[in-house]
Amino acid sequence: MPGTKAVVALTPKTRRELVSLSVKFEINSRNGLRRVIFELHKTPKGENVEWKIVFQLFEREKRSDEFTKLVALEIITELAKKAEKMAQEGMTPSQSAHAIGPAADDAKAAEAGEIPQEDADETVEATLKK
Amino acid sequence: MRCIAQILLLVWVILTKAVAQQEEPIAGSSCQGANLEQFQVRDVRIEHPFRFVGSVLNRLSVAQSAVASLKGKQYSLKEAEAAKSQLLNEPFLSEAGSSLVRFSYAAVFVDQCKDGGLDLIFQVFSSQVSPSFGGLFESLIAERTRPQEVAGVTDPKEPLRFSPQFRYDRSERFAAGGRMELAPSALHLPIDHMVVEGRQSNNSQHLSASLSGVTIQERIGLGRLEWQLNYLHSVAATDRDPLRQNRLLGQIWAATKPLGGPGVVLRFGVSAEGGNQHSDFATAELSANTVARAGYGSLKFFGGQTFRTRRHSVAASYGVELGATESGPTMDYAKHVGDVAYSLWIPVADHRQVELESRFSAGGIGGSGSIPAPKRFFGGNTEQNFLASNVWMIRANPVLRSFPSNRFYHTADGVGGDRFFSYNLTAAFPGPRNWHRPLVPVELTKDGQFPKILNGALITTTSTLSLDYAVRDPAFQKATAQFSELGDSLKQLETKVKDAQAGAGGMLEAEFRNCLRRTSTAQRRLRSAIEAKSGDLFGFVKDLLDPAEGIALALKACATDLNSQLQNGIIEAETKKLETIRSSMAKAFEGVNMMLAVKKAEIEMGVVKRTLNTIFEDINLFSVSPLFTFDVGRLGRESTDGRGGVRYGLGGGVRFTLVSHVVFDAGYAWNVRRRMMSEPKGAFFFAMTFRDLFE
Repeated sequence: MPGTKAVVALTPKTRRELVSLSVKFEINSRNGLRRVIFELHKTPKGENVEWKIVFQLFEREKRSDEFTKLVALEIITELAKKAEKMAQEGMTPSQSAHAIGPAADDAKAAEAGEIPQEDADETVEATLKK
Repeated sequence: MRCIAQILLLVWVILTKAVAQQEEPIAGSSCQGANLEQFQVRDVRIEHPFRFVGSVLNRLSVAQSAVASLKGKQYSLKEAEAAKSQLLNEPFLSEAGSSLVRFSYAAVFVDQCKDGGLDLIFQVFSSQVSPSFGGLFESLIAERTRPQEVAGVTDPKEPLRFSPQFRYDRSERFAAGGRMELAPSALHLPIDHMVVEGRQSNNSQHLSASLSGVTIQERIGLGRLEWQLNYLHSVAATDRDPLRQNRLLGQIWAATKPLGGPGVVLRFGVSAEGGNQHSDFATAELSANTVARAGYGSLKFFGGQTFRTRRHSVAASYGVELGATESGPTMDYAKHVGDVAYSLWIPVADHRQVELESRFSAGGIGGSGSIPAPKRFFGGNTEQNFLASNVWMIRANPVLRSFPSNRFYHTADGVGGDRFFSYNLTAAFPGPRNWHRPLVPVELTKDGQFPKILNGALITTTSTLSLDYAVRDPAFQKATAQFSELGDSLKQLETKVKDAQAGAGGMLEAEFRNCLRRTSTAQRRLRSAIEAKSGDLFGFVKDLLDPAEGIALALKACATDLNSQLQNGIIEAETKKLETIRSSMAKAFEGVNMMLAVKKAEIEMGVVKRTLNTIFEDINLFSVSPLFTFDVGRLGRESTDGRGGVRYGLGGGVRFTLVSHVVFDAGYAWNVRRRMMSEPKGAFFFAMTFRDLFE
């Protein structure tokens, strides 16, 4: 219409609300025979937040074989700040070394009945503190 | 010239408009603080940056139907969590390859909490970028056209790929063809790719078939070692008789891993080829030492360097060909080519950049024997590669987009230049806002969590990689050289403690048990360390030597807690011996230069980081960009009648990219310095390549 201007109203986009998130690191050894999966899950728990670690160890004899799952652990950790830090900032060399080394080693030993399960859980959880 | 000015003006207007446009503001969340369980799920969707890839889309379709059951139901955190866990474990990544670290991320979002309903959104992303990927100048093309491969979503060794190709050029006319690639990994042959590529028009043919293999030789510092056996038959059109070639080639080349701070990659190689080169030019048209047709054999040596930063990329290469024709086994000719390419991206707005690509090439051919005419330099709007490679380009002819292919070849000395140089500049400007769409949704890249988490994944990969460098440190090897001594000492201590326990009559039972448990743990760690090969070895040794773990715990349990009460001289001697070994190993371990190991890993991962940044911040799913081109080239000696010498070309066009599907550049370049009546006034350039149809 003459004398008028079309005005387009821009509707601002809304920021969506994050409910929960999960981060999964799969670390493979150079020789391809060992795989460690380290997952961090953040979920709301009432007014608070719960962090869960899921730790899995896979091994195989030869590269051409399929991986066999040797261990699967789930640990609710109290180390919420450290878990949040690892989820957002990744693993340090010490944490990565601990996850694929002693944590995997103890998880395997617990599965074989060589050490108590609580010891293995403690070693896995200690990854956050390394 | 008026047309060129109009194009430049148009480009400027578009650019200015693009810069002026801003993103819409983002307001606060409508779901913040809401009791979500009271809302009904209005809509459910899954966001994945690589949903345009066939394999991902198939997975997403399955996953979408699984989460669709949540739609219309009351929101439940438990059900949303279960769906998220399922998505986290979906195999979106290619299973091939041997990435050190694979990373997956899944998140649940809610949005539009109003009228009793909410939108439930799942975000998923996975990546497994190989540290050895992407250091090359040419990898830029891969990033922009095949980001899904760079991010490890698809396998570079897909069993079958087929890409149709279409091009138009006034010499060649309309040509159609395709490229078929087989990865015969199932045959357990040392062959990674079998490629057949063909293109045909009324007056040109191109058929090549190759077998090739690629490997990484980290021990000798090579990020890529590639061999190829290649057969080529080509009939290249000119404005007169075509240039014909049949040849068989064997080639091997290698590239180092990124070196030093900027991550310079050095590359070098050699090839041997033989065959025949034919043309129908009359002898009178050729220079004295040139023959119209000949069989030939030649050796090529080539080398160069390339490096790239986030916004700059440089490659410089040199190659020499030493050839002999049928006249005898002596060297008849030598051909030299040098090629320098530089690309720069200037961001002007979100996902919009000015892309500047420039290339300078030069070459010469000479010798005491016969030179087949097609071996001389023929210029035009088609580039020729000195190598048989899609990964490394050393341009071997003058490229002038204002000439149809192989139409720039007349010189004062006859047909085909004996030397040349050419410089080409291409500037691609971003189109207006609705002429592009970011590859990765803005919701993902602008979200507060995701960029941090992605960066964290890169840090994890760098950390894991640094362990491999740390175990190669001489100080670390000095520490592990004492494994045997340590094993003997731990075994001795365990034996002596057991002997003492047997004679203790039940005394200090808890102390004995704890000492044996700690000794046993240390022995288990040592056994694992002996079996370990790389990064995990570092973890075991660190744990063994940690003042609060491993051997130190065993010593505390046996020497301090047990033997301070037991006062057993044999155990005391064994614990002292163990402490001496531990101290010696720990001293060596302290000498490990962890900072250097991390630095080396960072250099290696720098390429990956830049690549991922490019994928997330620069690459568009589709984009339309106006092009401006400028060329200058010189071919051979210039005659008074205008043969040879310098030519200029100015042009404009458009670049259209639809990631994973099609890329084309099209335009027209004017021959600004036209010296001969037979020369074209200019030329259209058009090339369209479809991406893999089977992906």
